[in-house]
Amino acid sequence: MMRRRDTYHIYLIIIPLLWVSKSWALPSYARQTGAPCAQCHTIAFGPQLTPYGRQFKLNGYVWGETKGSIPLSLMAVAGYNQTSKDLPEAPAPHFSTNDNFALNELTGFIAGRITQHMGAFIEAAYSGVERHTAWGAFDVRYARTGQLGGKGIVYGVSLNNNPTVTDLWNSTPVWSFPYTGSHLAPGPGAAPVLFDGISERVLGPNVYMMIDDHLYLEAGAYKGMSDNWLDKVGLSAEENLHLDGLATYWRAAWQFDKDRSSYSIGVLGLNVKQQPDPAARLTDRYSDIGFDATYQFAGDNGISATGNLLYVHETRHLDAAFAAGESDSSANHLNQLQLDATIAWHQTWVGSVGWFDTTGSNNAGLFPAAEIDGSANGSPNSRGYTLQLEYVPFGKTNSFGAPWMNARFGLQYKGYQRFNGGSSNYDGFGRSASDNNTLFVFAWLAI
Amino acid sequence: MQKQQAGFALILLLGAGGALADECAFQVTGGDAIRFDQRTLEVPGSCLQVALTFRHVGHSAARVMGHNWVLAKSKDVSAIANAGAAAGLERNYQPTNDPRIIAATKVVGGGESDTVTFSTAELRPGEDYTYFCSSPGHWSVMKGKLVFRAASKEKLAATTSR
Ligand SMILES: [Cu+2]
Repeated sequence: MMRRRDTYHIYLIIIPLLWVSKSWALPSYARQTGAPCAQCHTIAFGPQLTPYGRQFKLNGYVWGETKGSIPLSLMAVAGYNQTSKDLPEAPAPHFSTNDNFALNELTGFIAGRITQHMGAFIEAAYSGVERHTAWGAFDVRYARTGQLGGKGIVYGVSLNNNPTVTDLWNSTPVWSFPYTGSHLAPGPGAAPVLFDGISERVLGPNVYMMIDDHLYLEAGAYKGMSDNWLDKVGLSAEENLHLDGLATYWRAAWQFDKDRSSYSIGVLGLNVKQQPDPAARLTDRYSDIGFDATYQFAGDNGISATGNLLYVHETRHLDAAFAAGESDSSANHLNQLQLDATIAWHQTWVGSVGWFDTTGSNNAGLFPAAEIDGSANGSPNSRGYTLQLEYVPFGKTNSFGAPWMNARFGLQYKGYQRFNGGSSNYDGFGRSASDNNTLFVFAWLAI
Repeated sequence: MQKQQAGFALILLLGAGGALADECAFQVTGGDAIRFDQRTLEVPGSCLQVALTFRHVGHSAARVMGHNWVLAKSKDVSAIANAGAAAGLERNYQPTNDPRIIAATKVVGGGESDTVTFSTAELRPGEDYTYFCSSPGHWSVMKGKLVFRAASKEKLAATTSR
């Protein structure tokens, strides 16, 4: 893939370094609070937060009367990967064209209280696919409580490295379904920048406030990291975004509950400007605006259910890419809709279904034909579903080995109806969308 | 509140049964999960006093998964809960002498219980009351509505003349 200078172009779609997944129910939080993982997470182990879990994060990861618990956790995700049709080449060195077993990640965390009002969620991950270690999610926050007009408020500031890593709901990209997946299967090319488009290559503060446990407001600004800093966190100069100014992020959400159900609706946005060539002064601008909604039900009979929705519309003004002949036009757009629903029995047996649809401007410059990763008709349109069954044996009150033993075993099937613009011969090299359908059988462990 | 408790004990001691009818005594339980067993309590308008017992039916120690039962007007809950989380376990996760707290038990752990008795004099029918656990963050789930029913005049008269 062509890359001008050492700029990471957001419109260039395959993002191998960001295959490191985001994380999860951390045993170190359970040891700090003394509460089982299942208190904070809808499934005993995994990223979906309960209303209490949201409170814990909102308040800075500091709660817990256990003194001297060490805020360290370790997690591993490994699995068997099978695509419907073999790839023409091995997806990574040391692997074959299909039926691979891979260690997705071995991740270490610093997660827990640092001072009375300050806590952390910091990860460093080794990718068994890339055989490389880099930082992952980073969220260090300081939070306080107070009053505003007689209502309780929680407010704070987070220093973090990815828009939506701070978010409290599981509709937004960093913490959204399916939480894990094959790192060896082809993935659709295009996604709005909000979906990990600048993750881990930026750093910045977000300020946030929750008013009366209903209204959540957040705003943040991110600075692109220099080559030197990228090197320090395990990334390379090739990943440099060369941001022009700050990337800005904003978020507002309203949550409420009734009986055993809780709901949220919200809006969010991200604006990013890249200047790939300092001499040319032309920029590529991305402006995302999104709408999300969540639903959660925790029944008395052990049945729980969750649902998430996110729709993001992105407008792109790719003046630099257009001038460089890499885009057919300056003005483009991209939309992404994703939905998921999960039902769990006693937080142990879990079934999930997800659906996504990406549509956008045709642009043969941005989406050229190429084997596997390309598009024959210059279209970013992709659509597909995910089916998942999981068994989560531990992490509940009185679970064996609590709070040390945590595991999740799953079967995940990803199916594509449309992939990079087509269902048959989508890449111009005879591959069908459904050839990329992927079975991922995984084990996910943490201590 | 302690005074009220003492007063209540005295009434019982004197055998003034009926002053606190069964319908005015309530029990709410919670366990090792962040959850109350009841989501609404209906207090008849005829009750002059209410006795509320919170029983922790789980095994966890108070510092791990302690719960209490706190009553306030719904509009005051977020402010009390946030201040309570900051107050710490030694203050039962309650802001000291907060007039917005109508009644509260102490924080208890597995196998323990605590009873609070309070007068209904300051409760108003139609007002929106919420009870909740003030352990940090628990109130997002551990909460319920307390409904104070208007008493018919005859019934109230009958109760007071007893
Ligand atoms: Cu509680």
